[in-house]
Amino acid sequence: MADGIPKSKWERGACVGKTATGLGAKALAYLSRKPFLTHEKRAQARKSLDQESAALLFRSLGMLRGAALKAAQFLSLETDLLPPEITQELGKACHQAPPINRALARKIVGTALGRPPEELFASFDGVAFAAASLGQVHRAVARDGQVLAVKLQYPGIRETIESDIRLLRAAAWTLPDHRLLDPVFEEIQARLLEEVDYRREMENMAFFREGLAPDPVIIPACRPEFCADTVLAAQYLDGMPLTDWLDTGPGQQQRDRVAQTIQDIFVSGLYRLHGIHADPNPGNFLVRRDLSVGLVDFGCVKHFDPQFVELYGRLAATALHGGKNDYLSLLAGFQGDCPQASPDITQRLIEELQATGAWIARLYRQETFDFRDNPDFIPAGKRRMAAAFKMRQYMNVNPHFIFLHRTRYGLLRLFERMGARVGFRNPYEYRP
Amino acid sequence: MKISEDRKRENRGRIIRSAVDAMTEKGVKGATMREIARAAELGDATIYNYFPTKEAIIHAYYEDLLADCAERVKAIPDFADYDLREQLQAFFDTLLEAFLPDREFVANTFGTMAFSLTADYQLLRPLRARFFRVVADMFEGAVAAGEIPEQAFQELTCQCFWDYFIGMVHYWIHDRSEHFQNTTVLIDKSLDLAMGFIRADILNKAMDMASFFFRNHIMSRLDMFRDRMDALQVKKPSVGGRRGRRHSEK
Repeated sequence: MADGIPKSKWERGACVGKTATGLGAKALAYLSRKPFLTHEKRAQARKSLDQESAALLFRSLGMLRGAALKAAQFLSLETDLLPPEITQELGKACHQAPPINRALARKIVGTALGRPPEELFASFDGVAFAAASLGQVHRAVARDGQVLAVKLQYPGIRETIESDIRLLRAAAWTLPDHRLLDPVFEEIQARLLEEVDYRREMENMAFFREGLAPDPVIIPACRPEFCADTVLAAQYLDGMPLTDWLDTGPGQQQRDRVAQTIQDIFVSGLYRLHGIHADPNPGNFLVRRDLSVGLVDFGCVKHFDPQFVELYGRLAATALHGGKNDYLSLLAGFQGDCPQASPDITQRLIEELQATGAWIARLYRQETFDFRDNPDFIPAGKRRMAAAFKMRQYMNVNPHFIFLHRTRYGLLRLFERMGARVGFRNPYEYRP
Repeated sequence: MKISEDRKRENRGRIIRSAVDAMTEKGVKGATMREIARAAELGDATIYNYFPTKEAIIHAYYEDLLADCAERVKAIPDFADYDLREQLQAFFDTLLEAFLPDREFVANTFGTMAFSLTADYQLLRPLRARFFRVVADMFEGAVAAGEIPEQAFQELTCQCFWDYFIGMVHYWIHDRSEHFQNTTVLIDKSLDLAMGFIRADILNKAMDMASFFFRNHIMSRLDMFRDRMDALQVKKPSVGGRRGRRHSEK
C-alpha cells in the first residue's frame, strides 16, 4: 500500500501510536543517559533527541496527511518557536493534502452542487493546478466564459480533524515545551475547522473584496451558484505566486513596490476593516504583470473588535516614545481577563513588552525600512517571539494579539525574503 | 393481440417502476404481483408475460440499472483518458448515485439479490455477466494502454470486483454519514489498495504461486500415489504367490 492513507481512526491511531512509542523510547534513552553526561554533551544529546523526535513525528504525519498535515503546516508557522531541527522537517510537510483524482473530483462536485461538472461548466479540468487547504483547486470555465478557480474539499476531512489533532498531541509529548504547545494545538484545531468552512470563506472574500476595492489589490469574486459546503468557485486570477515571481529575479524597485502593496493591504484591512487575511503564505500572493497583487485563499481570516484595533494602533507610538505607564495601559488592554499577576511577574511582562516594543520601533525610525541593511532584524524578532511565547504561562494574552502578531511577523519574514524596502509609517500607527 | 416492441419495453419499465414503489412501501414480501400489475396499469395476468416472479422484477431492476450506468460512465467527458482506477471509481460512484433515489428499495432487496442461491441463480447470472463485461472492458483498455500487466486470470479479477461491489453497496446501505461521504472515502482509499495489488501483479503472482504449489504438492502426491500403485502391482503377484504357496502347502 505505497500511497495509501491509513483511513480508519484505529489505523490512524496505530500509526501515531507507533510514532509515540518511538518518541517515548527515544526520550527514555536520553533520560537514562542524562545523568552520565556533561553539560555540553547533555545539550548535544538533547539536540539529537529533538532531531530524531522530529523525524519520527513527521514520518508519521506524512502517512496521515489530511488534517494532521495541515496542522503541521500551521505548526510550521510557529516554527521559530520550535527547535530548528523540527522546523526543517516541518518545511518538507507544507502544502500536501490527500490527492483527489478526476473521478473523485467529479463526484465531489456532483454531490455538493447536485449536478456533475460537465453539466455545470463549459469545461472543467479534472486535474488540479494548485493545492489548497485540505483540498485542491481546479480550473474551470463557466458557461458565460468566465475562467474560474474551483476549490474542492476532500470528503469527510472535517470529521477527521479532531481525532487527528488528538493523535498529534499524543505524539508530541516528547517535544520540548510540549505543555506550551497545548493552546497552540487548540488554536490549530479551531483554525482547521474554520479552513474547511467554505461558506465562511466565501463571506470573507466578499467582505475584503468590497472593503479593499480602491487598493492595488485584486480579490477574486465568488460565484455563489457554484459554491457549497465543500466546493468554492471564484474568478480565476492570473499572476505568479510570490515565490515563483521572486525566482524570476525582479528588480529592486519592483520588489519594493510589491512588498509595499502587501504591507498596505495589511494596514488597510486591519485599520479600516478591522480584519486581516491571516495566512501570509507566499503562495497566497499572486503578482500580476502590472505589479498589482492578487490575494487568494481566505480560509484563515481574523476579525477584531474596534477597541482592540485602536489599542494596537498605539503600540508603535508607545514603542517609539512611550513611558512605563503607556506600556502598563497597553499591557492591561492586551491581557485577557485573568487574576492580577504578582508585581514581579508584571514587571517581567512589562520588560518583555518593552523589548518587543523596541524591536517593533525599529521599523518606524526611518521613512522606509530596508531589510537588506538590517539582517539581524528577523533573528531578533525570532528571539522576541520565543520569549513572548514563554510568557504565555504567566498571562492570559489576548488571543487576538497573538494572532495579529504572528501574521505580522510572517509578513516581515516575507519582506526580508524579498530583500525589499518597505515604508511602515502609516497614519493609523505613526504620529510624529 | 400483438403489441409493438416499444410498447413492450415501456410496459416492462412501468412494471419495474411500480414494483420498486410497492416494495419500498411494503417490503418485498408485502408487495403482490397483482398490486404491481395494477399500479403499472396492466391486467392481473398480463404481468406474467413479462416477469414470472417478483424476484425476476428485482433482478431486472438491477440489470437495467447496470446497463444504464455502463452507458452513463462512457458519457463522462474525457472518460477515455481516465486511468483504470479512475474509471472503476467513476463506475462505482455512478452506480451508487443511480441507487440513491431508490435507496430504501435497494436496502430491502440488494442482499437477497446478490446472494440468491440455486433457484434464483439463473436470474443473477446475466447480471453478473453484464458487470463482468464492464469491468473486463476497463481492464482490457488498461492493458492495451500499457497501464497494468496482462491479466492472466481476468475472470478472477472480475469476480473480485463483483464481491467488492457487493461489499460497497452493503457499506453504503449502512452508511449514515452526511452525503454518504464515508462510502465515497472508502471507495477512494480501497481502490488505492486494489490498484496497488493489480500494479504489483499480486493476483497473477498468487496464481503462479498456487500453480507452483499445485504442481509441487499434487504432483509429488501423484508420484507417491504412483509408487503405491506400483507397490501394489508388485505385491499382487506376490499375493498370488502366497496364495500359490498356500496352495502348494495344501
